[in-house]
Amino acid sequence: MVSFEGFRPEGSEPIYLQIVGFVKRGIVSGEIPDGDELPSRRMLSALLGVNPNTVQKACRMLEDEGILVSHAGAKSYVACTPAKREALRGELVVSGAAAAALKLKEMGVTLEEAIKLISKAWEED
Amino acid sequence: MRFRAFVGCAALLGLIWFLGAYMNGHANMFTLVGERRVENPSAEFPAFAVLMLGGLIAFGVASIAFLWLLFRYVSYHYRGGTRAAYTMRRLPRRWEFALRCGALPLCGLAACQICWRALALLCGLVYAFATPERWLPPDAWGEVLYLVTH
Amino acid sequence: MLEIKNVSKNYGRKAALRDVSLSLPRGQLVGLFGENGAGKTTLMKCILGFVRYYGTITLDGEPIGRRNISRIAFATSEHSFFPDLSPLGHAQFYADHFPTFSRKRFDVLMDFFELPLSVASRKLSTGQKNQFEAVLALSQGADYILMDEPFGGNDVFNREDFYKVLLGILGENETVLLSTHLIEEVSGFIGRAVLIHQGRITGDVSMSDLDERGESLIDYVKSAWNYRADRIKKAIDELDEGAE
Repeated sequence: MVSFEGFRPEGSEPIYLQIVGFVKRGIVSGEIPDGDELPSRRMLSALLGVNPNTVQKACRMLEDEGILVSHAGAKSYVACTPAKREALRGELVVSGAAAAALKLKEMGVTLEEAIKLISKAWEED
Repeated sequence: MRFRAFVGCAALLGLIWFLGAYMNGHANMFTLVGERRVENPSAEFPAFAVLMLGGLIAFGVASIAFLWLLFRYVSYHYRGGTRAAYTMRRLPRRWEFALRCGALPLCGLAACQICWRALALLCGLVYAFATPERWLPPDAWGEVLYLVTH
Repeated sequence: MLEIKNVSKNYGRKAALRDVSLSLPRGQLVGLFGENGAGKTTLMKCILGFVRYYGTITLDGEPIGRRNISRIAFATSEHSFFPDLSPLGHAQFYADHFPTFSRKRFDVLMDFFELPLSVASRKLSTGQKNQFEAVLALSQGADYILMDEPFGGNDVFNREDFYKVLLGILGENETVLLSTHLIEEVSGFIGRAVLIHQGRITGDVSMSDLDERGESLIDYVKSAWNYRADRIKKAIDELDEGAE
């Protein structure tokens, strides 16, 4: 069963997108294995303290992207082939980089400065 | 149920009062002449109403007590830091609130009414038929009935 | 469907509600937001038939009367239980009067909130009283649950628990109308926000639409109330001027 224990809604991003992001990150990090069952809509709504429509929206989005599969009897399972997982990883990596780049650009950092900063931070970790 | 006690007490008090007043009136008919009790021709035996009315005060008190009880029942639903009235006023059984607050007081008031009239009737019987006729006004029984029906 | 059409209510010369119209379908969780005196409580009182009003309020086309009143439940911060009666006694009372009362739900909720069953309800703490008030409203078996600022005096964890258990326990056809000051807190819980100001409806939006627009609930409310952040700056400026 997928655990939503680490889910923390924050910021102004719509909650359904945050749920989708949480699931995607879980898949990429391996915490959410392929075939793992998702709690029922109602259970998830109660666990997260979030309106059932919001949960429904998140699930529908995941289904549309092929990450979630619903069977009869209101059970949903994560369906993520290794290929899909790689694609997701790519997606998240790209959007992560884009977000970081945007932040640095907003502060007026040039590309060269950015590369230097990132290399330095990379080594320090 | 306490209300039976209320009404019972009132009845008892009323009876005692009447008897007291009656005896008093009776005694007043006589004066002492020397050592013998002789009828005093100028004394008047009190009218029934006068004898009885004092005894009915207790019923008046009991009636007021029942009205106060009604007030207490209603105000219970607005006190105690809650407003139970909000629950009572949205029950499917429309008359529940009225019943809960009013049943006992209304029964009490009705019982008072019935009892005082019954008592008055009883005492009236004593008055009209046990007292020597010469002391009584012409239509003593009529007087009794009048009091009982008003 | 609970239909409120052109409802107006005056208390003396004060207009508490002005031409309010609102439709509440089954299965919606609706937040009702407004300042003190905006008319939130009055609106609920009109729905329940506690006060007279102009306009019409119908439940599935029928006026609210003895036959359908049990489909509406009410929880208020003023509390509406019997002070000398124990929770168990209340369960019995509710079972007697409301045919749809769910003893099971009552037991589950009483257990969840860890409320004592056999003490007089006036002896509960304020927080417990709020919880008990909510338990009764939720166990009545009503289709429409009106909650008027039910959280006064409950700490934040209490409240969080409350939203969650509510979401878990409500069926998909149960509607909740929840009036509260805690806009931010309930923004995840509700599916629709209705704003009321000086007796008029000044906003009515689904949370989903706000998501689409990328607008947060607080921002929506602020703009609807013409909340002016510059007032603070102005006041501080004035104070500084005076100090000089």
